[in-house]
Amino acid sequence: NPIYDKKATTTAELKINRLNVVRGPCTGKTEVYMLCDKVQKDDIEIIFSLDDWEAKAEFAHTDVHRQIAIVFKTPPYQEQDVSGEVEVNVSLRRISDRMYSEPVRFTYLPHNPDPYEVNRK
Amino acid sequence: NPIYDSKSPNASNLKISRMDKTCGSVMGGDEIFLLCDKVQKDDIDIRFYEEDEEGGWEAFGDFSPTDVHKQYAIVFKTPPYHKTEIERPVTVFLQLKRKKGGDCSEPKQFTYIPQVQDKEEVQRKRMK
Repeated sequence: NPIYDKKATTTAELKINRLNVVRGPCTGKTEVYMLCDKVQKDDIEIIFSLDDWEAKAEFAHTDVHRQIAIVFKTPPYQEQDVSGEVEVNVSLRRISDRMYSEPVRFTYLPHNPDPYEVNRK
Repeated sequence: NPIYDSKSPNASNLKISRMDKTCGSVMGGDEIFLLCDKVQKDDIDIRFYEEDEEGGWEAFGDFSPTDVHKQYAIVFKTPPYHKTEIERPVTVFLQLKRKKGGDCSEPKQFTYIPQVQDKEEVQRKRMK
């Protein structure tokens, strides 16, 4: 039987503690601060998913702060013309062993090309 | 000569790396995620301040020890500015400050935004 070191960042359980923003446009590019348990900056991905769809959030190694926070940009949702809000899952995934954290929710909002409702007036 | 242990969180330098917001309401209460160098959860304050000839102003960010995440991030709420009726945005400073010893980080700027006063709307509600 293999023995796992629960404290080592290469095998420890992944956990998302908190996001500063949990809603954003379906076009993506929302900046989000995530607080998490220890991760390795070169062995971690943030996966947005719903059913068959998945997309990776965008961040650089320098956006991983002291192993416990990641500042990233949301990926665009698969469709840009959603008519209502869409709730998706956000998880950490370790690249080396494909282990996932428990998901947290993020809500994509419909893209409104006329935010000030100029056309309606 | 005293010898300092530069690895100990008490002696290491305080530093604010990044904040998710640098402006907020003059009324305070905005939640901010702050990423920083190592801090002790029960020995740290977030001090907002303004310096002027009449002595200036200070107020502290609102958080509990559980809002300090793994010694390297703090989630806090902004304090209200000392006067809530301002006509234009006011920029103040904030810094990390140890309760014991009182040493501080380099400051970052924070801008208080006036409350949106929709006078017509207020008038209309008063009429009702």
